[in-house]
Amino acid sequence: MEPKTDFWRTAAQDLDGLPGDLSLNIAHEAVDRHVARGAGERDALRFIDRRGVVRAFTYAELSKQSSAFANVLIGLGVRPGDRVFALAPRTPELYIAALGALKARAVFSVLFTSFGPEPIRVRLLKAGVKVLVAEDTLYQRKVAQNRHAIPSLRHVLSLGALVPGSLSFTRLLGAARDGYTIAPTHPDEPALIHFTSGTTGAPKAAVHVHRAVIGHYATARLALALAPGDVYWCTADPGWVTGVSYGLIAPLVCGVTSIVDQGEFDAERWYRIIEQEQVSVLYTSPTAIRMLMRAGPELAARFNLRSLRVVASVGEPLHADAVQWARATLGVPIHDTWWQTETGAIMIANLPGRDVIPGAMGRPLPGVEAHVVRRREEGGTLHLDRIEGADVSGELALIPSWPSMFRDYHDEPERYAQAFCDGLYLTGDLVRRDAGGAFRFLGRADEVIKSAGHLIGPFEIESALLAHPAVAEAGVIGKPHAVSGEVTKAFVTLKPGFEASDSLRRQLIGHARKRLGPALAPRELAFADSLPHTKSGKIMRRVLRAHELGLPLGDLSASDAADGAEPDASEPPSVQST
Amino acid sequence: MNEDVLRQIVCTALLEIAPEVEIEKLDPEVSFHDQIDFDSVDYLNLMLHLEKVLGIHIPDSAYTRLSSLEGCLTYLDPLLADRPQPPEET
Repeated sequence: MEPKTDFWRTAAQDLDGLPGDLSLNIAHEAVDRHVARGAGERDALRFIDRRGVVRAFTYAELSKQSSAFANVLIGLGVRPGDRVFALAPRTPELYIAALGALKARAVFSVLFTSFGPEPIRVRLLKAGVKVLVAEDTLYQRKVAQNRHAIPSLRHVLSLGALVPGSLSFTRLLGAARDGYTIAPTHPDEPALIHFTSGTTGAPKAAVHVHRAVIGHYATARLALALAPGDVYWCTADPGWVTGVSYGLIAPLVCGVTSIVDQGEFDAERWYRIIEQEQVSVLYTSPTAIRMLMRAGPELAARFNLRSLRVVASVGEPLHADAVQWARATLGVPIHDTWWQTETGAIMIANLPGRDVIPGAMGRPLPGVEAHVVRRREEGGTLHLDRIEGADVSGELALIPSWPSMFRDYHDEPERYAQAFCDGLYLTGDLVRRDAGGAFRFLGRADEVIKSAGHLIGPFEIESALLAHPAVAEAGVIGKPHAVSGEVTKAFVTLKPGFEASDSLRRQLIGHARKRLGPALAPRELAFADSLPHTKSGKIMRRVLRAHELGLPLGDLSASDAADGAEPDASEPPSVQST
Repeated sequence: MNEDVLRQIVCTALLEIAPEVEIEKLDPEVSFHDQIDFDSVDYLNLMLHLEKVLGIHIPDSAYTRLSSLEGCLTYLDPLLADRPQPPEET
């Protein structure tokens, strides 16, 4: 059998590297490499605005503009490793900023535009951001009031109108030279930060390095079958890891033409884009697929979708019925893929060209070694038991040997260390491995929520609710939703002097939405007289969830053992309806 | 149905999904997405809520026509022309 690392080594041979030993820069591989090889006039990105007007950027234009932005950053005093973040919709400037920041060897990240002021403040502060590229209105609504509290933030580069205390992105870019020589970049130099959430604590800033580009390239070639000539559309927002890894980096490194839709979801619009742009590879989420399914086969039948060669999905389990629907409606099945913010690239997939196993996330890629494990505590130390054999269930754990693996949680070495045990990376996902080696997703080992393809940590939502004067305690769970997989529901107890009412319920949801934005705020909220606790005093979200879904409490044992505390069965939840 | 009653129903539905919205500041001609923090799950929930409250079916293909307050009124008004008042909520 081919050693696992050979898969990545072979893929790396397709990439250039920078002159000099041990130098690799994502932006060079994504853009400048193609220009150097004579493909500069090929369309790299095609932006489709809300009215349907297309604005294309060739690889050559993208190379020049990103070089100009690298010069802007150097002129502003940005040094290698400094954090440069963006808060902007899917405009060309966002992509130019990303590639320019990578050329300047800054560490780049995108903040999701549906976040409210609080998650944005927390992330800017956590990463110690030096430069923020922000659309004027988003900045005014979500950053301006907290700017004084982010001492590291030296420059705001405004897209659109100039806001107080900002510089004009467009003016700076226009005045900058569009030639830039990327300085030698060590492959293990930090390049990107992607935020993710755990059950407890603030969001984690997963750090990825320039070497990750090998993983983006190899997996996009294999699991999405991307090849020059393809018109590829990744529908994920760049505010989440998929939108950067597979919406920005992977397609450019593969030299394809990538579609960026600036409109909101609309089934008819999506089918029209596939037809007009002759999209050959589509990478989307099960939530989006369920929205297309809702729109009915008649709508799809009005469009010529024969250009579609590969359709793949990520973010949450893809049900078998969606695979069948796609065969009948799109003319191709859907290949589910599995990976995480931390893994940086696709790890497990139903590969194109092979039979799709409906309802399964697929098999590990050639460069990935996956195990099913059970956690065991012995003398206060965590150990893992590997569960061998066919048709076994447990936690998915991976041997961390692929290039796009995260290298740190920024400034949190302890949390980083906790992600590993006995030489394995612990994913927190519970899976079943069948006799053929295919994996199926069973659920999470912890209490994070998967909503519309996004991983949401209950802690951030509970903290926002607790900031309201009426709230004594809050517990947040994921509740099944027909379209978005799960939606968040909050249970709260009130402080003395406050009474549960429909008006207070709306007030609390409104309070959370103003702070967190719609993507994180609870969609539903119920009052309780008391919340269930472990004996050590932690709120047992799993009991709340079991209560909400009518599940037996026996399902709780695994998670509670992981918490190191027994459930206090004498304290059932008592939920009020208003 | 009287237009004011219908407007009230749509605003109430909107406030059920996004209670923080200041209705009086809303530009009826501009899409919800463009003036308030309103994502696609909110939008779907608004459509489902209107269906429930008004006892009608809104096909997915019509959703984009209901993307603003004025759009909602223009789309819903003819459907409810014969209705003196909305059905009681259950």
